[in-house]
Amino acid sequence: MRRASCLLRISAGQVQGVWEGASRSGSQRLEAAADFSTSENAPTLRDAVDAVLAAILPPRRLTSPFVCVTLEGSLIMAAILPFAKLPKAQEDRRLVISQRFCREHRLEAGKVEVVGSPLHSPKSASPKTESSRILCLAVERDVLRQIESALGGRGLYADIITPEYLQKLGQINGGELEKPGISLFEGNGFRTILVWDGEGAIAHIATVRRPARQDPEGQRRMATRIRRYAQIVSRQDAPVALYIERRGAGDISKDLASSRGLKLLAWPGERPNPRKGAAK
Amino acid sequence: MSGPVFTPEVNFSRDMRPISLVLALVLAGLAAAALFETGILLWEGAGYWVERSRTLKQADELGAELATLLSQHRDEPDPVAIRSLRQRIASLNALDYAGAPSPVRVFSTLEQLMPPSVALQNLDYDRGRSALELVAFSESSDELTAFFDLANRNTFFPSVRLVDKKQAGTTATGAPVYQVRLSIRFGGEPRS
Repeated sequence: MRRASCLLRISAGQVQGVWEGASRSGSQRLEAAADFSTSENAPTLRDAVDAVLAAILPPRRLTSPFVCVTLEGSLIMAAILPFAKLPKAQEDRRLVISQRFCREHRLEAGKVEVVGSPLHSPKSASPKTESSRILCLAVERDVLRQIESALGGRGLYADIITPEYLQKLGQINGGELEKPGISLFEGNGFRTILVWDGEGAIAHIATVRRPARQDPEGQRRMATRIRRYAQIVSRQDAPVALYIERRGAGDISKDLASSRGLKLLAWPGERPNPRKGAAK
Repeated sequence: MSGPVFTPEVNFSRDMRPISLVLALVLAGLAAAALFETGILLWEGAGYWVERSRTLKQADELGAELATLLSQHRDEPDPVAIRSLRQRIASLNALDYAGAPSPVRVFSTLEQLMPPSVALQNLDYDRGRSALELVAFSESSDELTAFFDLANRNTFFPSVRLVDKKQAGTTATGAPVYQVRLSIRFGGEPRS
């Protein structure tokens, strides 16, 4: 029996919500979206989340649903930092990572929530390199507070608040991705570029503003950036896989289609566009 | 080469499992305590129920006993007669009280002082005034006067006062019968 779930996707200026009822109640599916802004008199993030929840939540709930909140890359600051040694205690480790991240990015420690995660699987880790490279992700505490406040107002608690690109990566990661590789995740005006090396470890994460279609110079710079990432993680002459979501394929594929060392692929689970299919 | 890309597990939501575990344990403890307390209350309630039944039974028995006593109380003599009898007993007892004259000596003295035709009708001792009220009657008024005179001069009676003297009826032959009432004060001198 499937549990009811509430999925919220928060991007720059917009909240999208999906409610999927429990299997016993007919798996009712409801969707809603609301905009928010930081300008004065505009709905805040909390207002938008609350409006979406008001639209999709059923009036009566018997059980607590699974609540998953994904944040678009533009809401998250990411960095891969090397650490020579980290404390064993989890809280101490968290504190050290947070202090280092805030110091290097000139952030106030109390204003951001920093989460650090080793960039290798526990199986492949060797004792010497353990904890050497840490993926640090930070979100403004005010953003988290507004999300939790809106959820709490509706009697909900977020089981997961995670970056959208990591959630997508985790969902399809069943050995289908080629290594090394690059994936482009399209957001609301932003594009997140996730790069992994031949070992399957994340090598770089960057979220940049997506250039407009009528901006050839911006498109060229974007293509150059992706080629540079490919050169960094490529091994010998093996091409680097470039996974492109369907909605971003039109912008990027024509600039990179002729690039050597890149193999354009559709994001797993998405059927390639029959007219603008990915090409090598 | 294809294979899994290691995906870090990142969650910005606070892990509530430790708090949830503590809360669950606390709630379980409270539930167990409430269950235990309920058991104790039920056990005490059963004890109270037995005690209540016993008390009601005792009350019924006492009620029956009270009804019996009330029925016995109705067989008692007239309370006015009892009160009068008690008063007379108290008067006699008063004669033998500290400061009062000995009844034996009073009667012995009266035997010596009273002429044969004078009869003693009543004696009453007032403890508050330490006075002996004496009522005597005779067919002869002179004999009564002589008795008062003898009593007045007798040393055993410190102070004798004539309260009244009157005719108090007649005999069967029609002769008058006189009555004298004397008050003899003893002055509170304790009896040895």
